[in-house]
Amino acid sequence: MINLKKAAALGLAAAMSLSLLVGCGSGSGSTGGSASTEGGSESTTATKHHKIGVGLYTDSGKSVEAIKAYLAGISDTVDCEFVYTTLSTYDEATNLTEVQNLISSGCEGLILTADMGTTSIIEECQAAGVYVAGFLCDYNQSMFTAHEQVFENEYFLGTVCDGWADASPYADMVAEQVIENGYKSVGIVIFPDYAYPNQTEVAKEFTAKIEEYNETAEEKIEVKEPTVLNFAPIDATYFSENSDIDCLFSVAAGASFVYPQMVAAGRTDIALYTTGFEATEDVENFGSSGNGCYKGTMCSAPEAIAYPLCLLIDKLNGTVYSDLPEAERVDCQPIIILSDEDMAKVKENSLYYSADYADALITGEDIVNMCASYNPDATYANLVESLQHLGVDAL
Amino acid sequence: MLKKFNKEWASSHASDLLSYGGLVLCIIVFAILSGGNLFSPYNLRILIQAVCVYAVLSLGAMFVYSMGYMDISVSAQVGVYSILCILIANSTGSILLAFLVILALALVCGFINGYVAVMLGLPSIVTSIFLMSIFGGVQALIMEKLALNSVSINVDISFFKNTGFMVAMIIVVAIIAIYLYKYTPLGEITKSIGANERATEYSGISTTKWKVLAYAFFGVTVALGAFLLTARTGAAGKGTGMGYAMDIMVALLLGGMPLSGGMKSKISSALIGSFTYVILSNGLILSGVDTKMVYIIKAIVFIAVILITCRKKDGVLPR
Repeated sequence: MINLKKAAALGLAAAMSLSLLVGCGSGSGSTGGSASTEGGSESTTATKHHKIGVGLYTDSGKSVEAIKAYLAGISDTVDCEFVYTTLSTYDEATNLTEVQNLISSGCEGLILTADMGTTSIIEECQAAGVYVAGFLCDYNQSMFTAHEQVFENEYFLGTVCDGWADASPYADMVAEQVIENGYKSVGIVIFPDYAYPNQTEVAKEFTAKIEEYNETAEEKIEVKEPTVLNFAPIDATYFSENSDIDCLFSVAAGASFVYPQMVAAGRTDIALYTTGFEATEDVENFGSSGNGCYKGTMCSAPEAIAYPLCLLIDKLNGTVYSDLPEAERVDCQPIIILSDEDMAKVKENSLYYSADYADALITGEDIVNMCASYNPDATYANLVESLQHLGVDAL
Repeated sequence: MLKKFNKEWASSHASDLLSYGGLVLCIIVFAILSGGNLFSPYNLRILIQAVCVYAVLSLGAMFVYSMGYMDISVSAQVGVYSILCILIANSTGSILLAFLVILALALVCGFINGYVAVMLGLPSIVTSIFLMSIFGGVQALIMEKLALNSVSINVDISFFKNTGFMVAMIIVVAIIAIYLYKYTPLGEITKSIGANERATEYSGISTTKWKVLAYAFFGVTVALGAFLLTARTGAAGKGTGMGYAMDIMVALLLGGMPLSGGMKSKISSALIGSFTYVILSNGLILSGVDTKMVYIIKAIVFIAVILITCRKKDGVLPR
């Protein structure tokens, strides 16, 4: 009887595993053809097929959903097959293994969203002849501690940041909103300086802006010392210890690390400005909706992946822009949501929110046109310029 | 001749058949699904690199698991040793000194797990929880003090990340482990402790001494594993080593190791399990399986192994 149970367990497990294997394996079948037609037009561009590995910093969430929808939408037109993996933001060995697996599965180029173990990853890619470019990542660590090994390596093509590398303008915008809305006591939450030094700079800029206002203001705004989150939700005692705050600027992802604790503490009366966009409770409770806790947020458009993709396609095709500089990191215009109108635009027109390729600001055909290997007139400057039109104004 | 392979033989070797069969099945299935990529020279190299740390750690863990114990501090230990290895090598230029320091630390931890636990009358799992917390805190503290997310090694360690060196390490550690397990009392006594610790004590054996030796050998492999991991990535950070404690347990189970130790423990479980675990992970990705599905499939395989190897009529854990 026991043996029968074991045999049944084995059989069931094998059947389930095989069905998953077959189902999932067939889902990522390769795309064929070497030419593409866009939007029913007759104009075609001869393209070369490439297999690109995409290492994302997480395996779920609105951002991932939108990125995958976008890449699925452009896949045929740009003639690229995309293979996904999930990277770690804290473990080098995991990332190296994932990259090795992508290379082994035939990827010719990689788009990575995490700067962890990059030195050994670039070494591995160089040995395998695979090119790497960054996306949604400032590669700060590599930039300042391993510039020669990463940015000066011919196999690293550059990166596009998650919005601005220096997000001080967002700090200024939030400060203006705080002043305008008459908040009197503001808390700041950031991730550790060693991991996200830019967040400390944003906090400093915000504080400086408020201090500048306080110099002439009759009623001054108090800004608390930044609270550092060690990649864990904010401590439950924060809201009782800072019971006087009426506004919180969580430079660290507030939707995941702060808002749930605000709800638990019954303090959704605090105005929350943050970064990142989950498109769940941060939409339901934004501005005049729901409890109105969320007042502002900032995220990056999935279409910014056009930057690393164009660089990879050109490199793999053996053609580069005439004005291509050495590997660098560039900014993309972030989606900054500070009003109900902004949110309405995002909900109605953004690919980030809809995960519908039809809403894409940069189409597959645009990407083909921006590649030097498919369009001799394409320039690097144009590619970088295209990243500056991904904000709310463009929606 | 065929009579030897009857039902009774199959029943008594069910665990071996399943572990070896599982590995062979993995190889066959993924060789087909990956379109032959599994055997590409590049993939074989990365398989060896990935297996190396698991195999070395599992070979040491065998002695602890044979006693029916486990050490959940491995992950944090590996993390701290990797960081220390890099910091010492960077400041002294000596990779040997760096290795000796982490080896000494690993042996001290082995002593704490094996001896202090007995002296305080605590289960070894309690001391390993203590060590896990201490090492986890130290790892976070060091990285915070360094104000870096990851620290890279400045000394040339290319020799140690060479695939040939890694293969040699697996072979050397396997030979030593097999020798200790099969040809010294250590193997028999650890299995005996796993089968019945009290009976082992009553038979006049100093279980404390053998526990310390088992943990000490595990300590050596933890230090070596951390060193090999460091050599492979050339960097370490706050999350280095994370997950190894569980990965080792899963690898050993896939290799046919009874979770609660005892006389059915086999040294081959470490190698078979490590290869199966790595090939399973690698093969699923090569076959184009979505990363989310990889977790689900691994969980199904894991629970199936538990159910199949369970030999307690009224229990859940295999023994």
